[in-house]
Amino acid sequence: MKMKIILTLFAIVSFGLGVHGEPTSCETCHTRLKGQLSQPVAQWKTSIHHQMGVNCANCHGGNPAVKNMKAAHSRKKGWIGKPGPIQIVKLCGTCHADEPFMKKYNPNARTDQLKNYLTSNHGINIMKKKDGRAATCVSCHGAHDILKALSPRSHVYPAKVVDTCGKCHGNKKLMMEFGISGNEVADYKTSVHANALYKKHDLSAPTCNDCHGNHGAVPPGASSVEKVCGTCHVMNQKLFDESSHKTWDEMGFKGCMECHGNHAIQPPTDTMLSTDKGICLNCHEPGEPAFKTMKAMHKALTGLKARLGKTREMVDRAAEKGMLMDDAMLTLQDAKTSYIQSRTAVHRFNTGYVEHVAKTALLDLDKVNRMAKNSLEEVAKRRSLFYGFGGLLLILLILLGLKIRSMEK
Amino acid sequence: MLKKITAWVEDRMDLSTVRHLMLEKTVPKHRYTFFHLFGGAALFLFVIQIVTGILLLLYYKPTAGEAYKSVKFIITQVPFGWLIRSIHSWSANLMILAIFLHMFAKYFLKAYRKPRELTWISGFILLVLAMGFGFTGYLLPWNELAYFATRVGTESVGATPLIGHWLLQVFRGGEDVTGATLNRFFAIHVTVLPLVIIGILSIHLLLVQAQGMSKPIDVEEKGKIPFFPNFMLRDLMMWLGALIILLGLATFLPWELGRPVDTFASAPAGIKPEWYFLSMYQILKWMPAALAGIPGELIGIALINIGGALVLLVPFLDRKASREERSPWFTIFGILALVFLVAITVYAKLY
Amino acid sequence: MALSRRKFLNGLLGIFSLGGMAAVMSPVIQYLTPVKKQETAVSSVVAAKANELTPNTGKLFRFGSKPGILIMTPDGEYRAFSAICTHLGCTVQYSSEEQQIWCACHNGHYDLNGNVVSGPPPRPLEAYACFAKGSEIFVQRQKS
Repeated sequence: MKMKIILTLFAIVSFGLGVHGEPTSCETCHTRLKGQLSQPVAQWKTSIHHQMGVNCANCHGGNPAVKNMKAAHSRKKGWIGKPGPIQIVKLCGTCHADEPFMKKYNPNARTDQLKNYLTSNHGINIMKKKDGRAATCVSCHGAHDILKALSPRSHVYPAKVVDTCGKCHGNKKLMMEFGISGNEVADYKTSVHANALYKKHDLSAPTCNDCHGNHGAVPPGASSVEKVCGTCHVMNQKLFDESSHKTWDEMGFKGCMECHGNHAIQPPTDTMLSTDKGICLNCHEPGEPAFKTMKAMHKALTGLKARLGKTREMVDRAAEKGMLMDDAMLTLQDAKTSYIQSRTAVHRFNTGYVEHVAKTALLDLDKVNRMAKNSLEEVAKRRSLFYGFGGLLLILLILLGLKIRSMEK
Repeated sequence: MLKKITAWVEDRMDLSTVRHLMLEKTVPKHRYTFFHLFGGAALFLFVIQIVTGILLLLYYKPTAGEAYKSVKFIITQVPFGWLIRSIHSWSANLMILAIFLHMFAKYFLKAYRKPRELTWISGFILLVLAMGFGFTGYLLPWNELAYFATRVGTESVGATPLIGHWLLQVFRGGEDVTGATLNRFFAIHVTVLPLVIIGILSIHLLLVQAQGMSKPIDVEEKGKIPFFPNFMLRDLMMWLGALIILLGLATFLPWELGRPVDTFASAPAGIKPEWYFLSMYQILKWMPAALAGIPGELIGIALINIGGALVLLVPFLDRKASREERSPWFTIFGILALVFLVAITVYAKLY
Repeated sequence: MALSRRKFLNGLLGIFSLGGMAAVMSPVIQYLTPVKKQETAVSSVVAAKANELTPNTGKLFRFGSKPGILIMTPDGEYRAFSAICTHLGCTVQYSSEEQQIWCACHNGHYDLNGNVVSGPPPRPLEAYACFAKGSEIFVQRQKS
């Protein structure tokens, strides 16, 4: 508590010193130093703190007004050198948990980070168990080069945050000591979510913190994982909750995870329902009604997919031959919509429901099929017409040639 | 019956010139006689253009909002509309090709020499008019490619000294290519150009009939073929061949409609004009931004105009041929020009 | 002999000339016959008639070969978007109860500006410009 008051005083007093443009003595001297001792200044200059007028002494203490090295680094003036983990958390919290203070910079600034952090495993390890290996604020945000979370250069920007977590969580040896496998980051990078993030540059794709939270990082309990997925995959969760599997929570199963995995989530395939490699076989025996449902759903989906592919190919073929297939393509789009809906529909684990949804697609496909067939027939008709008429004209041409010859003989 | 009608007409009008044309007109027979057929082919394709053009007019709507849809309607809903539209597009290209072949054939046979200078000049004007038809007609379906090609194509008009900007606006009907441009191009395509071309074409054909076909210098004549019916039948064979090719092209390679104009879309990659403009396009593309303070585009346009003027004035430049002497330099120049045109067109098409 | 052969050739020529003419004329005659289905049916930029939508409703229209959605907001304002969901490309629809654009495939929700409210869509729907002209509502792509 006493520490906090002193630090707050520091922050306020030295803050005033930082705002006017003059470089502090810390800045002047450390810029001239070599290697590690000058790096913090360079990094700090790119940071949001520099931009907002927060200087070295605001965190490290000391007297930034004097040029003398000893006087500047005076412990009496509150110089702390390199802060330890606990100190870091408290230091950052001095300002970032102070609502009135933060509001001066950003009226919408959140100030619950420290509170959340203290509830997280990271926070508990650092603050309660005094285990310095766990993450503090600077482990993720950087010590001197702190940027706004939304800045593309920031360590916690969506495209970078996975590697930031991976600095520790990718270290198997370290993670083993905490009873974590350490494969999570590597697994994630093979997932459909990582593909969306890195290949499609979709920044809304979930990264570590979207499921695990950021400051209040805790491993999701079995009860919450389905809700986590459900925040984005609403329809799937809704259907799942309507299904016979809604009791999974009580039975101790982990919702979505049981079939889709957690970190290495792959794009769902039809094989997940196949009779030899189906995921349902993990719990259900062949011969159970569930097995029949799986088989039927698999048949409906693969059948629909094959029809869709075949029909699309027909439309493409007709378009290639110069027919206008705009109407067919429009209906095909509807069929594709229904196909994706029927894939979602499996989460109710009810054959009738899947077939009901798939039927809309089948009806549309019938329509497209007819259109494509008509177009292809029209192409064939045009060609045979050409052979007929062209042949007729060709004979006429030959006859004319004969006529000229007979005339000029 | 036929005799009676002829007699009735003859009673009121002197038909001797017609009879003379039909019965006494001859075509010199020599090893290059075949090359006299391209003009007839161009004429036949022009007639096809008139017929299919009139047919298209029945359904086409020349407004920015309707143009694309009406063409789409023609090729999807109207019976044989796809055929008529495709033939109109293909025939336009074949016609220009036939005119080029006709021109080069006549050039190498030195048919432009005295007394046929006017035939050559009118023929050259017909080529320019045909290209005008192509340029204005290309925009009419109001599809993306045509829209951007027209934007690029009209741009060069703006490089004309002094009145460039005004001229550009007159062509486009405004600062940019819009529905107003479509209206103007449509008017030019279906009224102005047809009127002018029929006038010039009449002169061209009249001259051909009055002067007969030229005999190449120093070529051994193997006698004469009566124009009617012998040469006419040869023409007919050529026309039938052209018709079969046209039908085949329209059936197997239907002219694409493309995507509707989307004025806000960025230009698709590789916008290129029709093949008969490619040589000019490439010359303009090769011009530097500016040369000695003169805009490169202007120099390019000047070069193209000088080239055109040279072709136009060939009958007056080739003094030897007009004295019925061989003029090998003009043959060499012609070959070079032909090779250059083909090479630059192929290059522009590929790169 | 030669005479009869010539006659035969002439006869053949006559028959085939007639055939050729018929071959050329028949498409032309069919082309000239008016079509029952009139062209007005094929309209793509006209999204709706002016009195077709009431506040808080929407309709799908075709935009080229792709679907678009025209909505009238509860305030009576027209808005148009691409109807292709940015998630997996399903066709979206207007939900009057929620006053939102909704994708049935994975329950994606977009607000009346096309922005994602909830669900998996990664991006907002592409917005089109729309304006009323006469008794029709026109839609076109927006200037970027």
